[in-house]
Amino acid sequence: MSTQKCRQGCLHTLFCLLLGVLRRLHVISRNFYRRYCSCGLRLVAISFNHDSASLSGDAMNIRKNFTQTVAVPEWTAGETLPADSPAAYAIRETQGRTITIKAKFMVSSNSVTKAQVRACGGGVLGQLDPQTITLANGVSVPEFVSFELRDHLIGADGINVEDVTWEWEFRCCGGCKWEPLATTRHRIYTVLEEPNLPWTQQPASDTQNPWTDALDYACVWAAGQQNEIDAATAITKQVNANLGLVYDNASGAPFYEPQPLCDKFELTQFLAYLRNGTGLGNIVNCMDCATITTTFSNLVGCDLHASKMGSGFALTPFRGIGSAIFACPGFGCSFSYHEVAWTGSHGNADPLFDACLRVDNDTNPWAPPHSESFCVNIVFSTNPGAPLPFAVPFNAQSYKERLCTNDAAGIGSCNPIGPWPTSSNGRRPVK
Amino acid sequence: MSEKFSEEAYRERVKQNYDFYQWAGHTTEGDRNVKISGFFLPSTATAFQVVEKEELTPSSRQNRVTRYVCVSPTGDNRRIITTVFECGSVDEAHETLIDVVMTYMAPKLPKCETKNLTVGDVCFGSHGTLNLSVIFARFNILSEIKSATPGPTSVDEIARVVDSLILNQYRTIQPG
Repeated sequence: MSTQKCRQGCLHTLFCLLLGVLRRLHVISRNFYRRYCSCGLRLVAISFNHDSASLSGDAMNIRKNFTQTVAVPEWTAGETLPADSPAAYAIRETQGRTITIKAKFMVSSNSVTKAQVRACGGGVLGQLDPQTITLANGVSVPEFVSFELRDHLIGADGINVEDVTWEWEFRCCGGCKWEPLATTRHRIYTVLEEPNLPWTQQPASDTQNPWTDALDYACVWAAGQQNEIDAATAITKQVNANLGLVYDNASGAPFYEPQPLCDKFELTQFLAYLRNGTGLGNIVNCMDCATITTTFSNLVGCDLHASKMGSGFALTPFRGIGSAIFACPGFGCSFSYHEVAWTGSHGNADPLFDACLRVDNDTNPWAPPHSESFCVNIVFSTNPGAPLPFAVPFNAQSYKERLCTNDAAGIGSCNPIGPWPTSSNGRRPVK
Repeated sequence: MSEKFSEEAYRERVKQNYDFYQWAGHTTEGDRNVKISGFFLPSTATAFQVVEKEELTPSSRQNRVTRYVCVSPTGDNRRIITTVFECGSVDEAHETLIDVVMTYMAPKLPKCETKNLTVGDVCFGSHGTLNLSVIFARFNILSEIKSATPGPTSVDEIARVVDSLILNQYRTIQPG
């Protein structure tokens, strides 16, 4: 068929219509039909992130991890695993905009100048409506042809990761029957908006562009969430309750921020821990929890930063990460400092997220019985500078009052400090 | 609130907590001018086996910072993180010890001598009956050894091995 001339025109279309009927009746073979009414069209490549300077009309800049990039076009002929063809979309930036992918086609006969292409399925990306493509010298013109994602559902389910399949079909040379072209599989990530620092949107090779190895976790932990607060809440709860992390009761030392500067987040090591329990182990402190929460939340579009409070304050019993009971840390009932994932400018009125511990949420947080609550979207202090001690019942949803003793050594000594000086404003670069 | 906080004041408070001025600049063998260079852990020793080794970014006080991920040779899946800070001098090693414990949430750690561990020129263990972490300075080398896996196993033996390796290197380069 490849050497056949590709005929066009009404008469030829009628002829192919007849051959199509005969083919359906199994009177003629597929090859016979193709010889006169088809062409050897091939799908060569698909590009999702075809404009690295923008993420409103296409996918964003991503990479696999610290050492491995994601090549564009993301799909090339021969790739079969969804994870080998990833793309990530930002809901806010793409909302109301025309989103396109681009695909390259080739045909072995130079006489073929037009073909129709469509794709069924596509999951969150939707099907691709039939579109006529132009070919010259066996290659599509332009080389990468735009397809609009008219039926996409990006944003409908909030944050998401989904493996999608497109069943591509084509017809050409007067053929009226849609023929299989290719089956392509892709992993599609959906986040709320452009990831915030430490994540960037630099041209493809930057190590701080979003990692799909991290998106694989963040988009599951925050699946279905439609806004930043709910996403950060889901991620904080996941880090606190479901990752097998345990507080360092021996000294409260950080493990995933390299000493002595604590200026980076050892995300590669942490992903190794998540994957197979290795990395730098499962013991953590507050800096680790704040950094993990910040990094994964910001990856899906939140805007948190790791910031300190202190310094040197007495604690009321809390439920530390990995612990089954309310108690003081093994090193005693005080912190030299504490670090959390904070919003805004880490002030008294700014809500925070703390995956390191759960506080007592009842009307007397300074005495048993303890009624636990995750520290999510809770204001640091609703009563800064109020005379101490506070009276019981204490009803305010106020973080430091529920973490510290009800006196000058506790509540009175716990104040916002700000990020570590070497922490890139609490958004530690990943490595 | 932020502007009231002083990193320097905090650092000074940490130094007071750790009785810094009692031990700073002192060594139990040699003197404060001893400087070991090119110190590395072997890939295998009696108490550990190195499975990963990575050079970390030093601060101005160190020439080299090397992190070793070690496992127990008995194959019990226990992971130990050992970080070796090769500092510019004994004084810088002691300042680095303060840099590191400033990142700990525990306001103070017990001295190793109180927990039947004698290593380094100055050494701090962890709270609890066993040392699950140890930080000690020997000459210009600061070593931080942390158990990264929960369980009642102390890191004392690894600390002794690391300290003896440093001492051996020092004694080897001594004249006579």
